[in-house]
Amino acid sequence: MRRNVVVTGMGVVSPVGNDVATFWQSLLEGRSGVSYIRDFPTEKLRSDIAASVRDFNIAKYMSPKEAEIYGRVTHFSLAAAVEAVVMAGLDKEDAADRENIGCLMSTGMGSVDIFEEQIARSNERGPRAVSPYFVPGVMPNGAAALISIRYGWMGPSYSLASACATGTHSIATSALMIEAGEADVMLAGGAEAATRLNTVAGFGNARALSKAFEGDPTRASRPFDKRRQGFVMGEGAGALVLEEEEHAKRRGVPILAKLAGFGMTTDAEHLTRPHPEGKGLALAIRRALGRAGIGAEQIAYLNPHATSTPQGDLAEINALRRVFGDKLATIPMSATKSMIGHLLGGAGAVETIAVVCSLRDQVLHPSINIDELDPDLGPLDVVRERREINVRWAAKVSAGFGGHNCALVLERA
Amino acid sequence: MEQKRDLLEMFKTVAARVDKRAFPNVTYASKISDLGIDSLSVMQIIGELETELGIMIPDEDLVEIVTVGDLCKKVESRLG
Repeated sequence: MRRNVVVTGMGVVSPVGNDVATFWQSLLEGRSGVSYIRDFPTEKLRSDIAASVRDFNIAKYMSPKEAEIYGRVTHFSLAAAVEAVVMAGLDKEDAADRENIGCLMSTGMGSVDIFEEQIARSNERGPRAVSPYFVPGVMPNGAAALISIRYGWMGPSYSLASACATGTHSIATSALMIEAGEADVMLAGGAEAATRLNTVAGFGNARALSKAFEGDPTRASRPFDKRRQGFVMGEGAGALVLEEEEHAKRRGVPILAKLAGFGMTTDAEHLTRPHPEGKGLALAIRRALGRAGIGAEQIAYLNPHATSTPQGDLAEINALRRVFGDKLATIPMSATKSMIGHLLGGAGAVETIAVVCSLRDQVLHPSINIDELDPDLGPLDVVRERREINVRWAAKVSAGFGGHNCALVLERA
Repeated sequence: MEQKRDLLEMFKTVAARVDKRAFPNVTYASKISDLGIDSLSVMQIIGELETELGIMIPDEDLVEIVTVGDLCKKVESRLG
């Protein structure tokens, strides 16, 4: 008998709220977290906006000395993990066998801030000034290690990377781990805090970033709108506690949603451009549906990747139409990135949390900044205002640089 | 001796900066391993002293350092 996977905890740090309740309320209200960058000079950059996390206090989670060692991405990861662990009741002594709890907390780009700082130190003061903590501070698996140490979890822990699909892949791989019996509980998620001078320069020089729209940063991230220009860099973290269903029932903790299926595929076609016909992404969705044992017609909400780039959104809609056909026009979808920007390695995890909240509360958050749906995308039901629904099955889709695709099918608890 | 006293103060200042806590009772006789400082942080303190003073303490000297006084002597010999 297959071991089913359910969600029993969630944690978020985001540009629109540093806990799940605030984040979800902001999304329902259609509040944008995008603003002008204030942390470094932007006059020579091709874009000067980002969705930044505000009022985040790492002192709640670690000592000043630890905080100095780890990058902002690790700070966010730990904070999201703590919220998820507390929600799932895993912080209590003997809540579960710690030998069977694992952690797959990932990042797409790692501690860019620590790299920048330590390289600057070396250039200014010489290599002897480089911190002995440089390597543990930047290793992408740092968050998974730190979280496992904090809670004494001895199951599998590491990080994986698939660029903008990292968070989603971490969830899917964790589910696979539970199915296979390698763990009963997995803390799964992704995080990013890479909005730094050189990364904004790199993405900007690749012509991937949006600028303030008619002078307004909050209107810059506009997936599926006719005048979308590119994505907006975001930062934050999302963490989910995934648990074997019977294990969760024995513990008596609330089940927030079921993770019914997942699919992981590769375009195998181009390093950065998504497959124009969406072949790889469509295959990932089909596999996720197959694993969930349902047909495409049963999906009643879609949370797409929807980065707001001209090519990316088009390729994604092509992929979705391959799977859902003309019925795509009737499936409600909303783009979380329209409000929080693109959290890169954190995107899939944070957006999956939005889907879990949708299923739990039976309400969909809007997609903002659609003045005119791009007619090239064909007919779509993009949710413009919060919508009450009756949904059993929803899908989350992610695609990353490298041609990495991951789709999840979630079911109402 | 004037130089040595300065180095002890300097050690305490740098250690406090690195470990985010004060070390008021440290003397030359204090064993570094008794100060509750993580081994990587000890290396960070040494790196800071090297950088600030423009010296380099070779690996073979490091293994001989047990007390704060030992470290100060190694630093002093490189300053000489």
